[in-house]
Amino acid sequence: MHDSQRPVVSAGVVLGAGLGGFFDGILFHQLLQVHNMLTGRIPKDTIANVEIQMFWDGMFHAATWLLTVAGMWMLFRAARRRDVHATGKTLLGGLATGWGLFNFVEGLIDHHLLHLHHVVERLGVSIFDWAFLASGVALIAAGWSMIRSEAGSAAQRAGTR
Amino acid sequence: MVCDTPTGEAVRAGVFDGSFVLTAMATLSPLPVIAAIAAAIHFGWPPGGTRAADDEHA
Repeated sequence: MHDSQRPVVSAGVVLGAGLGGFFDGILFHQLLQVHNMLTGRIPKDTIANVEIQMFWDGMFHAATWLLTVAGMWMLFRAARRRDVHATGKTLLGGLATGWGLFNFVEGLIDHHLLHLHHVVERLGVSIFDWAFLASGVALIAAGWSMIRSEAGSAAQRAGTR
Repeated sequence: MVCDTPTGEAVRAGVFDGSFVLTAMATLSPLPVIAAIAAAIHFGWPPGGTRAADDEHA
Protein backbone atom coordinates (compact mmCIF):
# COMPACT_ATOMS: atom_id res chain seq x y z
CA MET A 1 0.00 0.00 0.00
CA HIS A 2 1.33 3.45 -0.92
CA ASP A 3 1.23 6.14 1.77
CA SER A 4 -1.06 8.29 -0.40
CA GLN A 5 -3.72 5.56 -0.19
CA ARG A 6 -3.75 5.34 3.61
CA PRO A 7 -6.42 7.98 4.39
CA VAL A 8 -8.91 6.45 1.92
CA VAL A 9 -8.11 2.90 3.00
CA SER A 10 -8.49 3.67 6.71
CA ALA A 11 -11.77 5.52 6.03
CA GLY A 12 -13.00 2.57 3.97
CA VAL A 13 -12.00 0.11 6.68
CA VAL A 14 -13.90 1.99 9.41
CA LEU A 15 -16.92 2.55 7.14
CA GLY A 16 -16.85 -1.08 5.96
CA ALA A 17 -16.68 -2.36 9.53
CA GLY A 18 -19.69 -0.24 10.47
CA LEU A 19 -21.73 -1.32 7.45
CA GLY A 20 -20.66 -4.94 8.00
CA GLY A 21 -21.93 -4.68 11.55
CA PHE A 22 -25.27 -3.35 10.32
CA PHE A 23 -25.45 -6.21 7.80
CA ASP A 24 -24.87 -8.72 10.61
CA GLY A 25 -27.46 -7.12 12.87
CA ILE A 26 -30.11 -6.73 10.19
CA LEU A 27 -29.66 -10.19 8.63
CA PHE A 28 -28.91 -12.44 11.61
CA HIS A 29 -30.52 -10.59 14.53
CA GLN A 30 -33.64 -9.20 12.91
CA LEU A 31 -34.55 -10.93 9.63
CA LEU A 32 -33.39 -14.51 10.24
CA GLN A 33 -33.44 -14.21 14.06
CA VAL A 34 -30.87 -17.00 14.44
CA HIS A 35 -29.15 -15.19 17.29
CA ASN A 36 -29.10 -11.98 19.30
CA MET A 37 -26.26 -10.29 21.13
CA LEU A 38 -26.36 -12.41 24.30
CA THR A 39 -28.19 -15.59 23.25
CA GLY A 40 -25.14 -17.62 24.29
CA ARG A 41 -25.75 -16.49 27.87
CA ILE A 42 -29.45 -15.57 28.16
CA PRO A 43 -32.10 -17.84 26.58
CA LYS A 44 -34.93 -16.18 24.66
CA ASP A 45 -37.55 -17.99 26.71
CA THR A 46 -39.52 -15.08 28.18
CA ILE A 47 -40.70 -11.70 26.93
CA ALA A 48 -38.39 -10.04 29.45
CA ASN A 49 -35.37 -11.96 28.16
CA VAL A 50 -36.25 -11.11 24.55
CA GLU A 51 -36.39 -7.43 25.54
CA ILE A 52 -33.03 -7.72 27.34
CA GLN A 53 -31.59 -9.13 24.09
CA MET A 54 -33.14 -6.18 22.25
CA PHE A 55 -31.36 -3.75 24.58
CA TRP A 56 -27.95 -5.34 23.96
CA ASP A 57 -28.65 -5.53 20.22
CA GLY A 58 -29.25 -1.78 20.48
CA MET A 59 -25.85 -1.29 22.15
CA PHE A 60 -24.26 -3.28 19.33
CA HIS A 61 -26.03 -1.20 16.68
CA ALA A 62 -25.03 2.01 18.46
CA ALA A 63 -21.39 0.90 18.12
CA THR A 64 -21.78 0.11 14.41
CA TRP A 65 -23.50 3.49 13.93
CA LEU A 66 -20.51 5.23 15.53
CA LEU A 67 -18.14 3.32 13.24
CA THR A 68 -20.21 4.34 10.20
CA VAL A 69 -20.27 8.02 11.18
CA ALA A 70 -16.53 7.99 11.92
CA GLY A 71 -15.85 6.33 8.56
CA MET A 72 -17.91 8.92 6.67
CA TRP A 73 -16.11 11.74 8.47
CA MET A 74 -12.70 10.22 7.66
CA LEU A 75 -13.72 9.77 4.02
CA PHE A 76 -14.88 13.40 3.80
CA ARG A 77 -11.51 14.55 5.21
CA ALA A 78 -9.58 12.31 2.83
CA ALA A 79 -11.57 13.55 -0.19
CA ARG A 80 -10.48 17.15 0.52
CA ARG A 81 -6.77 16.33 0.31
CA ARG A 82 -4.90 16.66 -2.97
CA ASP A 83 -2.09 14.38 -1.81
CA VAL A 84 -4.43 11.43 -1.37
CA HIS A 85 -4.84 8.78 -4.05
CA ALA A 86 -8.64 8.48 -3.95
CA THR A 87 -9.90 5.93 -6.44
CA GLY A 88 -13.04 3.85 -6.39
CA LYS A 89 -11.02 0.64 -6.32
CA THR A 90 -8.98 1.77 -3.31
CA LEU A 91 -12.16 2.73 -1.46
CA LEU A 92 -13.88 -0.53 -2.42
CA GLY A 93 -10.82 -2.43 -1.21
CA GLY A 94 -10.95 -0.57 2.10
CA LEU A 95 -14.68 -1.27 2.48
CA ALA A 96 -14.20 -5.00 1.81
CA THR A 97 -11.25 -5.12 4.21
CA GLY A 98 -13.30 -3.38 6.89
CA TRP A 99 -16.25 -5.70 6.46
CA GLY A 100 -13.93 -8.70 6.61
CA LEU A 101 -12.19 -7.27 9.65
CA PHE A 102 -15.55 -6.92 11.39
CA ASN A 103 -16.51 -10.53 10.61
CA PHE A 104 -13.15 -11.89 11.74
CA VAL A 105 -12.73 -9.82 14.92
CA GLU A 106 -16.37 -10.04 16.01
CA GLY A 107 -16.52 -13.73 15.16
CA LEU A 108 -13.31 -14.52 17.00
CA ILE A 109 -14.14 -12.51 20.15
CA ASP A 110 -17.92 -12.91 20.45
CA HIS A 111 -18.47 -16.37 18.93
CA HIS A 112 -15.31 -18.29 19.85
CA LEU A 113 -13.69 -16.60 22.87
CA LEU A 114 -16.51 -15.04 24.92
CA HIS A 115 -19.37 -17.18 23.54
CA LEU A 116 -21.76 -14.22 23.75
CA HIS A 117 -23.62 -15.74 20.82
CA HIS A 118 -23.11 -18.02 17.83
CA VAL A 119 -24.28 -17.63 14.23
CA VAL A 120 -27.03 -20.25 14.69
CA GLU A 121 -27.55 -20.25 18.43
CA ARG A 122 -29.39 -23.56 18.68
CA LEU A 123 -26.30 -25.31 17.23
CA GLY A 124 -23.72 -23.62 19.49
CA VAL A 125 -20.27 -23.33 17.90
CA SER A 126 -20.93 -24.76 14.45
CA ILE A 127 -19.74 -24.78 10.87
CA PHE A 128 -21.55 -21.45 10.45
CA ASP A 129 -19.23 -19.78 12.98
CA TRP A 130 -16.19 -21.08 11.11
CA ALA A 131 -17.74 -19.96 7.82
CA PHE A 132 -18.26 -16.52 9.35
CA LEU A 133 -14.54 -16.33 10.21
CA ALA A 134 -13.64 -17.61 6.73
CA SER A 135 -15.83 -14.96 5.13
CA GLY A 136 -13.85 -12.39 7.09
CA VAL A 137 -10.51 -13.74 5.85
CA ALA A 138 -11.82 -13.89 2.25
CA LEU A 139 -13.11 -10.31 2.36
CA ILE A 140 -9.83 -9.05 3.84
CA ALA A 141 -7.83 -10.88 1.16
CA ALA A 142 -10.04 -9.56 -1.64
CA GLY A 143 -10.01 -6.03 -0.26
CA TRP A 144 -6.26 -5.97 0.34
CA SER A 145 -5.67 -7.29 -3.17
CA MET A 146 -7.69 -4.40 -4.62
CA ILE A 147 -5.76 -1.89 -2.52
CA ARG A 148 -2.39 -3.34 -3.56
CA SER A 149 -3.38 -3.33 -7.24
CA GLU A 150 -3.76 0.46 -6.99
CA ALA A 151 -0.46 1.02 -5.16
CA GLY A 152 1.54 1.27 -8.40
CA SER A 153 -0.60 4.02 -9.89
CA ALA A 154 -0.63 5.78 -6.51
CA ALA A 155 3.17 5.77 -6.42
CA GLN A 156 3.34 6.96 -10.04
CA ARG A 157 0.91 9.80 -9.36
CA ALA A 158 2.84 10.82 -6.23
CA GLY A 159 6.06 10.80 -8.22
CA THR A 160 4.74 13.10 -10.93
CA ARG A 161 3.16 15.58 -8.52
CA MET B 1 -42.41 6.98 29.89
CA VAL B 2 -40.56 4.07 31.42
CA CYS B 3 -42.55 0.83 31.42
CA ASP B 4 -43.64 0.00 34.98
CA THR B 5 -45.21 -3.38 34.29
CA PRO B 6 -43.74 -6.53 35.87
CA THR B 7 -42.11 -7.31 32.50
CA GLY B 8 -40.58 -3.84 32.34
CA GLU B 9 -39.20 -4.20 35.85
CA ALA B 10 -37.78 -7.62 34.96
CA VAL B 11 -36.09 -6.15 31.87
CA ARG B 12 -34.52 -3.32 33.87
CA ALA B 13 -33.35 -5.78 36.52
CA GLY B 14 -31.90 -8.01 33.81
CA VAL B 15 -30.09 -5.20 31.99
CA PHE B 16 -28.85 -3.10 34.90
CA ASP B 17 -27.69 -5.94 37.10
CA GLY B 18 -24.31 -6.32 38.76
CA SER B 19 -22.67 -7.37 35.50
CA PHE B 20 -23.85 -4.41 33.38
CA VAL B 21 -20.37 -2.91 32.93
CA LEU B 22 -18.78 -6.27 32.14
CA THR B 23 -21.53 -7.11 29.64
CA ALA B 24 -21.18 -3.71 28.00
CA MET B 25 -17.41 -4.18 27.72
CA ALA B 26 -17.90 -7.64 26.22
CA THR B 27 -20.52 -6.39 23.76
CA LEU B 28 -18.35 -3.51 22.60
CA SER B 29 -15.02 -5.36 22.75
CA PRO B 30 -14.55 -5.73 18.94
CA LEU B 31 -14.75 -1.93 18.56
CA PRO B 32 -11.32 -0.97 20.03
CA VAL B 33 -9.63 -3.80 18.12
CA ILE B 34 -11.06 -2.57 14.81
CA ALA B 35 -10.23 1.04 15.71
CA ALA B 36 -6.63 0.11 16.55
CA ILE B 37 -6.16 -1.70 13.22
CA ALA B 38 -7.70 1.25 11.32
CA ALA B 39 -5.36 3.63 13.19
CA ALA B 40 -2.37 1.45 12.28
CA ILE B 41 -3.39 1.63 8.61
CA HIS B 42 -4.00 5.39 8.77
CA PHE B 43 -0.79 6.40 10.54
CA GLY B 44 1.44 3.67 9.16
CA TRP B 45 2.91 0.66 10.92
CA PRO B 46 5.38 0.52 12.51
CA PRO B 47 5.13 4.13 13.75
CA GLY B 48 7.67 6.34 12.06
CA GLY B 49 8.41 3.74 9.44
CA THR B 50 6.60 5.64 6.73
CA ARG B 51 5.22 9.12 6.30
CA ALA B 52 2.24 9.52 8.60
CA ALA B 53 -1.08 10.11 6.82
CA ASP B 54 -2.00 13.00 9.04
CA ASP B 55 -3.94 16.14 8.15
CA GLU B 56 -1.93 17.52 5.30
CA HIS B 57 -4.67 19.52 3.66
CA ALA B 58 -3.92 20.96 0.26
